[in-house]
Amino acid sequence: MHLSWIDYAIVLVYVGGTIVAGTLARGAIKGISDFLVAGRGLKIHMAVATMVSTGLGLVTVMYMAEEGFKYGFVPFVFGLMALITTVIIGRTGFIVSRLRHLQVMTVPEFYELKYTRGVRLLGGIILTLAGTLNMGLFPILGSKFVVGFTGLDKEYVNYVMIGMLLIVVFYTLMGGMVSVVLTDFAQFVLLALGFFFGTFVILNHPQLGWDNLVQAVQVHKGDVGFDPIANPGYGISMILFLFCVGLVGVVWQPEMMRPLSAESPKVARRVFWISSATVMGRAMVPMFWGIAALAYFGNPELDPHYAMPEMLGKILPIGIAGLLMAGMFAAFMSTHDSYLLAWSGVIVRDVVSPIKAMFAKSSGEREADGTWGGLSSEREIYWTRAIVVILAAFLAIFGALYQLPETAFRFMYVTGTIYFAGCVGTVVLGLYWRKANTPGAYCALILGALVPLNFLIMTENQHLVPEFLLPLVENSNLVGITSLVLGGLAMLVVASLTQRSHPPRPLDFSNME
Amino acid sequence: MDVETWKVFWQYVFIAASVLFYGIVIAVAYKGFGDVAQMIRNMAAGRGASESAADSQQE
Repeated sequence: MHLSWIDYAIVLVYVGGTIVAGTLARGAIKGISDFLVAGRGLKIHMAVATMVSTGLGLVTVMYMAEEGFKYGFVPFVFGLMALITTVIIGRTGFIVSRLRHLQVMTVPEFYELKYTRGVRLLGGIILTLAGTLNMGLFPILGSKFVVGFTGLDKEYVNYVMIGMLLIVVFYTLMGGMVSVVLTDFAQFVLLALGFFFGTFVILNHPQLGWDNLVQAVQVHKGDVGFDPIANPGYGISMILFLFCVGLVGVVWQPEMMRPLSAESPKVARRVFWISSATVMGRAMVPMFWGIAALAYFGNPELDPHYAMPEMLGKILPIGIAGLLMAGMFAAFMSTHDSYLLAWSGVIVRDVVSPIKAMFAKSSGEREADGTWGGLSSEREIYWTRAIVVILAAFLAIFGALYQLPETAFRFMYVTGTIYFAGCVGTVVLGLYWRKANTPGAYCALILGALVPLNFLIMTENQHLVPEFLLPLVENSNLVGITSLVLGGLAMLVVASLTQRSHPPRPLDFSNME
Repeated sequence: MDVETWKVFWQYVFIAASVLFYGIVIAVAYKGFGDVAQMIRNMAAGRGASESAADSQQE
C-alpha cells in the first residue's frame, strides 16, 4: 500500500461530506425541473464549476494520461482544438443560446419542438445507446486508478468499482441535479488542488522534470511523439475531427445540462466563454502525467491505466497523496453523477414518457410543469431514479467484461459520435437552417449512427468486412469524420427533396437574449 | 515545423494552459462560494430549487 492513514482520512472526510450534501439536497427537489436542471437557477460561477467538474472526470484523467503515455506530446493538440471550439461557442453562443432559449431540458426534447415526437423517440434511443456505451468504461477506469494509486492488489479492481458506484448512486438518487451541483463545486476546488500539487511534484522530482520527460518521449516515441501531423495515430484527419466534434460535442447531454440549467441564454453563453480558459489545462495536465509515467518507469509496454496512478502513488508525499486521491475520487463522482442523471433523464423524458404519451393519445404540447403529456412530474422523478440504479448495474457488468479495441480515448470518441453525427443534421441544421424537416432528421440520425456502430461491432469481426470497407473498421479517425459528414449531408439532401410533402416547423428566436 | 520547434511550442502551450486553468479555478471558486452558501441556506429552509431560482431572478 502506498498511502498512509492520513491520506485515507482525507478521502473519508470528503466522501462523508458528499453523502451529507446529497441527503440535504433531497429537500430541494419538488418537481422534475428541480431534479434534472436544478430549477434552471444556476448562476455563472456555479455553472462553470459544475461544467468543468463534469468535463474533468477521473475517466478523463485516465484516458488523457493514456494518450500521453502512448503518443507523447502529440495529444496536446486535443487541448488546442478544445480551446478553439469553446472560444467559438462562448463568443457566438453557437447551439447553446438557442437551445437554452427554447427551455428544453434534454436535447431530444428539441426534436419534438422542431420535428415530431417520433424523431424525439428515435433521438432519445440513439442518445441513450451512445451515452451508456460511452460511459461503459468510466467505472472500471476509475477503479483502476484507485487500485494503482493505493497499491491494492489488482484482483480487487471490480470490488472497488462496485463500492464507488454505490456511493455515487446514493447521492444522485437523493438530490438529482441539486446535489450534483453542490458536490461538483467542492470537487472543482479539490481537483484543481490535486492537479496543482501532482504537477508540481512531477516537475520537481529528480527522475522527472520537463527535460527528462521530453527526453523520454524522444527515446521511446521518436520525432512523432512531438509532431501531431506526422504522427500516424493523429494527423490532419484526427485534428479536423477533433475540431468538428468540439463544436458539435456541445450537444452531449451531460455537458449541455449546465447551459440548460443556467438562468438565461446569456448566462449559458458566458459559462462556455469562461470555461474555455480551462479546457487546455483539463486535457494537458493528465496527458503530462501520462508522459511522466513513461519517463518514470521507462517501459512503454506497461499498462498505462495502472502506470500513471502507480507513479503518482509512489512519488507524492503523505497528505498530498490523500488530497489527490480525494480530488480524483471527486472527479470520479462528479462525472458519474452527471452522466447517470443525464442518461436516465433522457431515457425517461425522451423514450418512456413519449411512448406513454403516444398510447394516451395526448396532444403533444408542453405543460406548465415541463412534462409532455406522458408521465407526470412525480412519475418522471421516480423512473429517473429507478433508471439511475439500472444504469449503474449495467456499467458494473460492462466495465468488468469489455475489452478495448483501441485506446480508451478513441473508444469515447467513437461511441460519442454515434450521437454527435446525427446532431450535425438534426440540431445544428435544425437550429440554423429553416428547411430542416422531419424526414431529414430521421435520415441524419440513422446514417450518422451507422458508421460508428459498424466500427464497434465489426472491429471484432474484421474477416467478414469487404476489403474496400476495411478502413472504416480499422481507422477510428476516418470513422469519426465520415459519420459527421454523413449526418449533415443526410439532412441537407433529404430535407431539400421533401420540402413540399413535409414543410418544416418554424422556430422563433426573435426575442432571445 | 521541425521537432525542436514542436518541443518548445508544447512547453509554452503547457505553461499557458496551466496559467489559464488555475487562474479561472481561483476566480470561480472565490466568486461561486457565495452562490453555494445561498443554495445550502435555501435547502436548509426546505425551498425547492425552482422557487429559489424564481426568487433570485426577482431580486
